[in-house]
Amino acid sequence: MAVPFPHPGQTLDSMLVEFHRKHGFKSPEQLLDFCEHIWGVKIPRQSVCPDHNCLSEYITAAFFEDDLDCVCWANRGGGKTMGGALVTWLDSVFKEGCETKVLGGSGEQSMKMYGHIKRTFLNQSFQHLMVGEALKTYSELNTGSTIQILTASSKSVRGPHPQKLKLDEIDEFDDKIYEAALLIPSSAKGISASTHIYSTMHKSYGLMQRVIDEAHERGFRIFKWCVLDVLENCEGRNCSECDLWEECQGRATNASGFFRIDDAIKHKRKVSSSTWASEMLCYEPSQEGLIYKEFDMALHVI
Amino acid sequence: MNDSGLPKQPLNLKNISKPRQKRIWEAMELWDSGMTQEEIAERLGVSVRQIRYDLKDGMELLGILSQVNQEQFINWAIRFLQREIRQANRSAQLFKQENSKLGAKRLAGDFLSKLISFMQDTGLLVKVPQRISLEDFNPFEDPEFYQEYMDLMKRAREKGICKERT
Repeated sequence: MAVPFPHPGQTLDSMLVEFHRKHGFKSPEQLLDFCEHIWGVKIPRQSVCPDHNCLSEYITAAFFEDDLDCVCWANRGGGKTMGGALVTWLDSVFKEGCETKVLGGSGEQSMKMYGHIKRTFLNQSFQHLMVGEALKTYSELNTGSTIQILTASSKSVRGPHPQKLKLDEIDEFDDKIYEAALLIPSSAKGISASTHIYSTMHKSYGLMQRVIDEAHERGFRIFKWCVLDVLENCEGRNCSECDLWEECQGRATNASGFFRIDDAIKHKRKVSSSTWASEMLCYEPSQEGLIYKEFDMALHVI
Repeated sequence: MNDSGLPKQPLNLKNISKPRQKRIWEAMELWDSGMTQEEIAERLGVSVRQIRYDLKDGMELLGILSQVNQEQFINWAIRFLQREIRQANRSAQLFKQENSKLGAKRLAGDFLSKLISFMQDTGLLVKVPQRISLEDFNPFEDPEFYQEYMDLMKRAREKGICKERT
């Protein structure tokens, strides 16, 4: 008897998901191709700045658990939240019993990450993965995985201990809440505890700067990328007339990201050079608003 | 024999007035919902003794009806479960607290499971799939098909046929 193809209630994408649930992923490239297809996003595969990483490095390291504790320091609009959402989705779908708690610097920030996840679950192809519907701040999957969204507060960091913790826009966190939050994840059901932190570094001497300074000591791997690493491929532009030439130096011709070059140029024109440097190029944090902008420990402290 | 020494009349819906029939079913529903006889009496504006008679007659009638008409009882049970699902969903819409919403949703799910089991037990529902089975036939088991599909979708994204998420 001929088998109907696909079965009623199925789509090719739901079959693709089930195939990978059964067989896993053979290589990082296969995982990235799958993510690009299912999520409809473009994931930069290579960084263009020499000392930077790319988003794909983070996604594969996080999913295959090469690095359990990670800090993603990236530019505004650089895909940190989307990357975090994607990794959370992959963990929930492909790792049975994986519980994730997402804490945002604000309610809006938490919802932004959850929004990416929820949008995917609303797709008909993935409805079969859900237990009930995706609620406003909570989703449960038939793999036994759960995703819960919370706003960073002293109450929310106490309670159950899932394996995965995602801290989004940490520069907006209170120090004490951050410290308490680090105690949330604990290993269970064969899944190791991990903490992933995402933020720009836009405050001088802020929490993100502290996290980066202490990352090595605390066992966090830093993934850093700037606007140039996520720029779309540059074709047919005249470098000598380009406003981004100063920082780009023609490197965008090798880029494979999603950030529109025109948008980057507009942003650069709109903001001050210190904001552009800290928020988009991931240089040192902006010192705007500080009383002693030029203060330097080495120079001014005897 | 009753108090007057006459043989007891068999209970029949025809012998009970319409308003009392209505009150009997209301009293039965309230009793099922967990209210005490005193509370039901207060709610329906009659004496506790009257409610005691109503409940006794109600139980008897239900027994007679279920013996006589099984279909009617099944309909009643289905209607009851459907009403509870509706009520739980309505509560989920009205609650403001997320936890309460979640609780109401779960309650609705529990009632739905009960309804499905009941309908399966009574033979009204032959089979309900527990989950969509995708293991029987999956074209991605064929590596060639897998690669061609992924390549095709990649070309579609590059051409802008598949909209990329922003």
